Amino acid sequence: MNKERIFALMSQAIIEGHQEEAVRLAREALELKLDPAEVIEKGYVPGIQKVGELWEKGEYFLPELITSSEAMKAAMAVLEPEIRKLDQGLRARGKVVIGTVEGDIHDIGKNIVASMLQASGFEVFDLGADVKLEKFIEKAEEIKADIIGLSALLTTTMIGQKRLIELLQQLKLRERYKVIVGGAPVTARWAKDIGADGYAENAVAAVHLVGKLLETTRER
Amino acid sequence: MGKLVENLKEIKVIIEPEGRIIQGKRGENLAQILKRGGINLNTWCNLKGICGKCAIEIIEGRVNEKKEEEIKIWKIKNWPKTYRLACQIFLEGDIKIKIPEESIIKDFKILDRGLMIKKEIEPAIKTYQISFVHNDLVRAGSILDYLREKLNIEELKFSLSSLEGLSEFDLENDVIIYVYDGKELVRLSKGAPASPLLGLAIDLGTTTIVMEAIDLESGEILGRQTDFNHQLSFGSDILSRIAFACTSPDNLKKLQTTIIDELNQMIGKFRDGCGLEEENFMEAVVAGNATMNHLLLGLPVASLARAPFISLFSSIEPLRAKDLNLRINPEARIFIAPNIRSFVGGDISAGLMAAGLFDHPGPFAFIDLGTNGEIVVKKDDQIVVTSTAAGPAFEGGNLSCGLPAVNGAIWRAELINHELKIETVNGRPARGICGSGLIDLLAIFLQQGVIKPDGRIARGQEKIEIQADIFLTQEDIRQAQLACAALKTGFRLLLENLSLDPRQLQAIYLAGGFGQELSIENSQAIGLIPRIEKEKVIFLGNTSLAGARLLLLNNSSRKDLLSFLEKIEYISLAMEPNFQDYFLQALKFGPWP
Repeated sequence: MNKERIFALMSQAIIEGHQEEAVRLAREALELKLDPAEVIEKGYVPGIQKVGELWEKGEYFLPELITSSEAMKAAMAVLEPEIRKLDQGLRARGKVVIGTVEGDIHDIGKNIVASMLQASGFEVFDLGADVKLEKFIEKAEEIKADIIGLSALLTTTMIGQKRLIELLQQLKLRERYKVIVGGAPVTARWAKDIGADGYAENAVAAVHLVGKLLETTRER
Repeated sequence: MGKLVENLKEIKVIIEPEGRIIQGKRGENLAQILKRGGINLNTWCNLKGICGKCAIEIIEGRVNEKKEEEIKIWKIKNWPKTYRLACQIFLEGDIKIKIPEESIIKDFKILDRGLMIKKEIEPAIKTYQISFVHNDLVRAGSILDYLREKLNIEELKFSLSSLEGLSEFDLENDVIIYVYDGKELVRLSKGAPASPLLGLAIDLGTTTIVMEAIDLESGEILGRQTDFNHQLSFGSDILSRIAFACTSPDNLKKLQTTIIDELNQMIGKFRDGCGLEEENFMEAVVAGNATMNHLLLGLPVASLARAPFISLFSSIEPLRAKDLNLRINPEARIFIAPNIRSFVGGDISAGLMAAGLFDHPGPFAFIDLGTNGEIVVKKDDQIVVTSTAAGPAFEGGNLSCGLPAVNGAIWRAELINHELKIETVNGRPARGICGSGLIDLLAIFLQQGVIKPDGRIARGQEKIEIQADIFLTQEDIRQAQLACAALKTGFRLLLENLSLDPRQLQAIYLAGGFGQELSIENSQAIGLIPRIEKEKVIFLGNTSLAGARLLLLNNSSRKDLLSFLEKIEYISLAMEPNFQDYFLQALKFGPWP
């Protein structure tokens, strides 16, 4: 089987959310001694990008997004150790600390964002739900994150997003991180009002947003 | 008619005109015999001979003479000579009697539809007319001790304000006293008792308030007022109102004043429209969700809206009208239906009570579907409840052409000969879609393949046109999927918690916004409710209001309700490990199980 054919199948497996198929193809690629970095870039990434497009067109909804990103993560789990072995140095696209703010226990939306970010090649540290604001900062400092993502699903807990930004300012760390916000009651207007660096309406938009924010950071 | 044969041991009480016979013993109290015989005699004052409600007519037979107090009542009521108080008669021999209709306690029907439960009229507030017998008064030592003795309530409590009426009465005239819950003196007055003695049943909804004025003795509904909750101007849903209340103490006060003002306006309409005196309202029962209860009392709500989502109180002692500035009798008592949890409030607990569901062995489910969908599942003695954030899609909330069920809203749709026929509220020209219409449309489009089970609109269309300017967009369908999935997931987790298969359910009771216009088949086709026989899905209507009415008219229901609540277990969906998986699975339209 030629490389192009395998890459197309990989992409297809991600689009269709076939986790087993995605994993099988990853193993096959290793047996064929294909370059794992190239396999990710040319086989799997186009698949997850297509998933994002299908979402944007309204054809895909949350279940499809989840199964596809799970398939993607499973394939990456096969390939990543090989990349390390080859000592190519795994180049994550950036590091994101993410969680649902304190007082809020809703985390499905945040889980989907985390999953899509991870599937899109970002290194994601998911702190879960009902996360103390200090915890976000501690973790971000510890792993030298680029981005802090805050989810809030209630009108009453959104205030946590604002407080985190204030806390970063107090600690003189505001410039070190890009803060992005999301969640059902959150709007672009709110994000602007509280001085966040970005807002995304959904998981696919979040992937674009994080990509864009990292580009501008690198440019600086 | 021959002379009645006297029997030393057994005495016969013959009740005309049926000729029914109840056996009694010499010296036994007639009222007790009648009650034992299954006659629902009104013994309002517990056989104390002071309320005058257990009158019977003696047709034949010898009985003891009237005492001073009975004579007084007998004169006030202007009864014929043959009338006596059953509770003051101790049998000496066989008697033949007639029982006037007004001496029998009536039942009242609790729900207008669905389950038909009846309860006795037995309000918490009772009035007694007491006259002062000087010798007894001196022996008792004080007026209050005399009242305690007369009412046979040793622990009779009173507050200073309840005695305000004392200043204007004298020992020469009778006094009317109002006793709450058989132990608390709440009001004293002279002259005639409040007539009719009135109560308010209040369904305090986030969106709508319904208030009924009820005659506490007959159970009759004398008036009803319905209005939008005026707090809507501070936020349409519960969370936005909490957010508003949390911004400043003034805002919390503003929300409280708004609701009290509105209730007072409604009470004023009972006076202006039905001639019901504010003074005569001695009780009110409020059934509302936890947030509405807290806001009514002006209590802080911040804790209701953040994990771990805890209310300040579940049940609270009855309050006085004057503490809330409610313009009915200042000493009237306000009973708040107890909350089960922060998101399963008094509206649900009262509703379950009204539908008689605590006594129902089950297994059954009870669903109140609004922006929050509350679900209750009961199997034998186990009761589990939860609340799901369904969102406003089924109330027409976040749809591009969504409407509540108002004139011109499409509320039914069906396919007739492959053609889509719609029906609107009051037959007005269609101008939007409400919840029940949405469910019909989704089911039809699924059946036609216009919508795929995953929610996608087929053939690459962006929206489905229903008629000019009324359509469903892809995003609308996504919102419906989310609402449907939230309810379905909650339902499934509760069933699992009790190891129940949905097919085992004896019934699914639907309360709240959805009424008869909801198609059961279509709700099952999209997966909103599980597939069980159609006959087992029962619409209950406004159970919150029915619950308030029940708690108002039947005091023992309040105690029963509090003891039932102890058995209820609350399940927090977000804490359930399977929640996310089930939710994602549930997003797919289609019947289950």
